[in-house]
Amino acid sequence: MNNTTLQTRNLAIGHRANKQPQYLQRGLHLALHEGELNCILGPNGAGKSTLIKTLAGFVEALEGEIYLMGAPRTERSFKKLSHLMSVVLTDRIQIPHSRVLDIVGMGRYPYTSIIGRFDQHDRKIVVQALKRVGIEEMKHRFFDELSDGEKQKVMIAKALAQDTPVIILDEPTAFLDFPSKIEVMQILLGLAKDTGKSVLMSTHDVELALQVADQIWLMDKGKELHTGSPEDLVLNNVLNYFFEKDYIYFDKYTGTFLLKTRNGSEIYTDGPQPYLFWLNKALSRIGFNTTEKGVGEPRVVIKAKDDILLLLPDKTQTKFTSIESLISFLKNEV
Amino acid sequence: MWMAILMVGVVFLFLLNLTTGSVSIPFQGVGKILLGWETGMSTWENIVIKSRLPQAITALIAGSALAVSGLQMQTLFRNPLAGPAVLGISSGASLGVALVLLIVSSISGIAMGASGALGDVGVTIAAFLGALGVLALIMLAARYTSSNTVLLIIGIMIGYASSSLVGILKFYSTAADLKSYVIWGLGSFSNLTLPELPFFAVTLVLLMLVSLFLIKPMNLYMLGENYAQNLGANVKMIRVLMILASGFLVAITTAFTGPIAFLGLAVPHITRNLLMSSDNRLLLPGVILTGAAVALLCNFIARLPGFEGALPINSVTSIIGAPIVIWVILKQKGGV
Repeated sequence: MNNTTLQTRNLAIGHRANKQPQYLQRGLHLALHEGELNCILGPNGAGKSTLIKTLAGFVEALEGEIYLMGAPRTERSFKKLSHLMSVVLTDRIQIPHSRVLDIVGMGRYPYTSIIGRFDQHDRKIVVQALKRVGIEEMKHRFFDELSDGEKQKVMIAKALAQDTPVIILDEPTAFLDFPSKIEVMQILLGLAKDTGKSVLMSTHDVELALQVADQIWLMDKGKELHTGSPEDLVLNNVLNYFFEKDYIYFDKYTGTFLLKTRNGSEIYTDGPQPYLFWLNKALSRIGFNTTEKGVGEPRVVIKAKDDILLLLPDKTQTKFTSIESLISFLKNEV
Repeated sequence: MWMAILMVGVVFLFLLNLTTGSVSIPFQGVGKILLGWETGMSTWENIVIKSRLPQAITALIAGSALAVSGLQMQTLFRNPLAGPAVLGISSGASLGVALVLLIVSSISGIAMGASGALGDVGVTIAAFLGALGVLALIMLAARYTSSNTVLLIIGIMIGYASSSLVGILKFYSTAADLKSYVIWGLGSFSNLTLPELPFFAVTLVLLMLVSLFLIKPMNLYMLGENYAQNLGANVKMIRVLMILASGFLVAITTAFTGPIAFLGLAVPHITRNLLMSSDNRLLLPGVILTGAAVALLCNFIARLPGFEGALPINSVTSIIGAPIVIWVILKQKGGV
């Protein structure tokens, strides 16, 4: 195991109402390691943001202690802390006439003197950070004029310029289009692997997180926080324990969330991939439980995208030339 | 580039203020008087040294002080419509003055406004104490709430409360007292006498120097308190320092000049758009120069021949300030 960067002992998170602690989670023993990407997953209201804000020191821990690079964070000065952990938050930033370079440059403030003058080294690190997230060519653009995805990359570059062993991000992929989500995840994964930083992010993009995270923290109100590698969490059903709803479940075989079938009729399917995969998807959308093992009726055999055969228990056979025509036929039958 | 233009502008406007008025004095005359040379015109010397010079210096410093205070408030509240008045401190000064002018005089039977130098000093002290009273209230409130929005609302509420108290006092006061209160409320750069000037100048310049040390945390504060803290700023302390610095700048200025509207709100916007920057390393010196220039310009306009004594400074700053604020709101991308 790589070196531990951040560690919590018996941490309790939540807030105080009339001085009475209202716990979201208690007894947390969590750890971040060098070079690892960690994702916090959980539904809305699970306390992901509160956990992140507690770790970052914006919200007081109700109990327990957070250790950063070996020492309790409460014993460190603001200045020292700013050299150990950087954050990317959901706070909206609106600074008139501010350019990308200005915002990324703020990451260097913890290292500058009282008047905030940059030296050669500071400038070099800012340029490196811009390059790392691929926004060097937009360094002179106004921050206001950037897209949400570009703004997010600027904030990540700011965190990088801060040059800390730990980076914590609160929902960095929220409100981004799908390609931007993947791009941001890629950047964060690369950061952890190439620079040895510990990266912790909360996200709702479960399927993406399962692909890139070294470790997942699963949390929800009233449930104990679970940690583990994504694969273990899938295989021991913990993921379903957290995310299963009346209409949705996590499918272990495809690694995706699927809608639960409503009519529950069984149907056998057969054929080569990728046709079979998409056939199954279409069938489960209209409520069939598909099974590829065994032979029986009703059965659909797909050989090519325009060669589909439906066999019914009364031994009748019908040919279809597209999945769409098959689906509309079955819809009328059921 | 703009900095140099601003500096030249301030010097030019300063000299313009010395030469213009009901008595026109040529540049050479003013120059000689300032250098202590003989001009052979003792009336000119009297006018320049005893009246116009203190007035120009007051305008210069008051303009800078209010502008710095406005910039600090806009930074603290991350709101373009914040200004020196949002914490209710200038309203506190008005209340203090109203209490002295409208109550003390009716009890003692002496109209303070008519009691000469003693009355002037009394008004200044009353304004200062009123402003400090509100500042103390705000600091108390800041201890109880960490939310700047709540603080902003409290400040505005204090402002309303003081205005309505002033309204009640006005209702029960005599016409003569009312007039002296109204005149104070119109603001003036000419209240300061030569002996008062050093105190006024030194305290405000010191406060502005202290503000220079807040430049870096002010830049961080623009990202929001969480980001600022994460980047090493002690946000609680910075908040207190910003309120104190801004509050004292307003309190002292208002005590001597009366309320000057809009200047502190509008100048940071002018400067931001001139310098095309929100970086306080540039903006703070810029705001000091622009504040001085705008105050001198307003004072010059108010004292143009023909207007002499007729145009109160507060009206001039508002007439210039209001269109600027409208322009800022319309120009702002993505709303306020």
